[in-house]
Amino acid sequence: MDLHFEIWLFAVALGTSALGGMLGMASGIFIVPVLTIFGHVDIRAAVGVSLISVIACSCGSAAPFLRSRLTNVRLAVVLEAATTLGALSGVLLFNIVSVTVLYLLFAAVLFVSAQQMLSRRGDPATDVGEARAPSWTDALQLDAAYPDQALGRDVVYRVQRLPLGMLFMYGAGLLSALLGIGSGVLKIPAMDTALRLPIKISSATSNFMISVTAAASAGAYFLRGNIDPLMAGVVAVGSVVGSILGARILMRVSSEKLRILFIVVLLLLGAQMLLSALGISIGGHHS
Amino acid sequence: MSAPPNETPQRGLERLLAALLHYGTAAACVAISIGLVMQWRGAHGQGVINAGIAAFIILPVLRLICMGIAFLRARDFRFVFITALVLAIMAVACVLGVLFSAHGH
Repeated sequence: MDLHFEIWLFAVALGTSALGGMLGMASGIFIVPVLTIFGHVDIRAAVGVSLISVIACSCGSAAPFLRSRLTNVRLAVVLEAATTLGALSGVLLFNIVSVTVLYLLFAAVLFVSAQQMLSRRGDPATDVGEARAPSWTDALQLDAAYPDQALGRDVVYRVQRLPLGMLFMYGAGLLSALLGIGSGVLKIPAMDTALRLPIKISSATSNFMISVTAAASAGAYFLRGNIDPLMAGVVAVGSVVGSILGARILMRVSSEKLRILFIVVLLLLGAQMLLSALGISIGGHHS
Repeated sequence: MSAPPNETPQRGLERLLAALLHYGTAAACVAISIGLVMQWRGAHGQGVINAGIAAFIILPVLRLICMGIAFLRARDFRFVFITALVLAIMAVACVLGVLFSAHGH
């Protein structure tokens, strides 16, 4: 691998993570398309590289969330049982699923992400005063409180419909292992629709969980030799530096313009991934 | 009733995990950067880069182990079990993943 390619990789990782950081989005969703489309990297190799960067970003950004009590550590470990099981399934399918299917799946994830970005997320948390039937999940004591600066007091929230949330999380783990992404695309409906968590809690907790989910598949890929250490190393360091920069610039940029830019980029990459899928299935040369 | 039990140990765990993940990420990044610089200067940096990448994969495992120990000290055995289950699933994914690929090719 020549130095130009490494510098290009570093720039890509830095840029996508900085942009992702500004919108509170993981950069994993951009790394695989950019590596395959512009870098002509094999999609399975790109997934391995992306997984390491996903772990790096998750670990690197966890501390501030933990210190401000936004991460629900107990809920995270419960949901991780589902995401790691999904990742286990993904590891077993990774070499069986054809390259075409991987491209198609990725295109679908990009399109759904664009759609999710288009429809603004409302805060799904209900008032704590609302009556609710006691459930078996109460025994896990997942409900917690977080300090809300706007209100100037602690807000107590409840975790709801845990089994449905776990099902979504299994899917998120599967997608993570197959596509090398953080699977925000499935975690957002899991956290909002099923568990009904406040957005701050769901962002912090899902970010915290990503590292464990990604490590569950990255371990096997690394031992199998599916992860190119040079590429993964450059991208991981670039992503960590990029996400730190992204968080710094966050306050200065209009997030509305950024959102539109992101939607356009997601759609363009999705279209190109769809074309790649068709191109490979017609041309029939698998790498 | 809704507040989690053992508020203080919980805060302690959160601080410990924050420090582990923060310094762990920094250490792995430094190792990878050293390896890359060695590589560009013509030395064999591959091993150092590999160590950095392995550190990134092990960091979430260490995070789970820390959580498991904290739950154990709080005598929260239900969560000790859940944490152990997650670690076991990760281990199985790793072993099956390696075995499976050996048979697949």
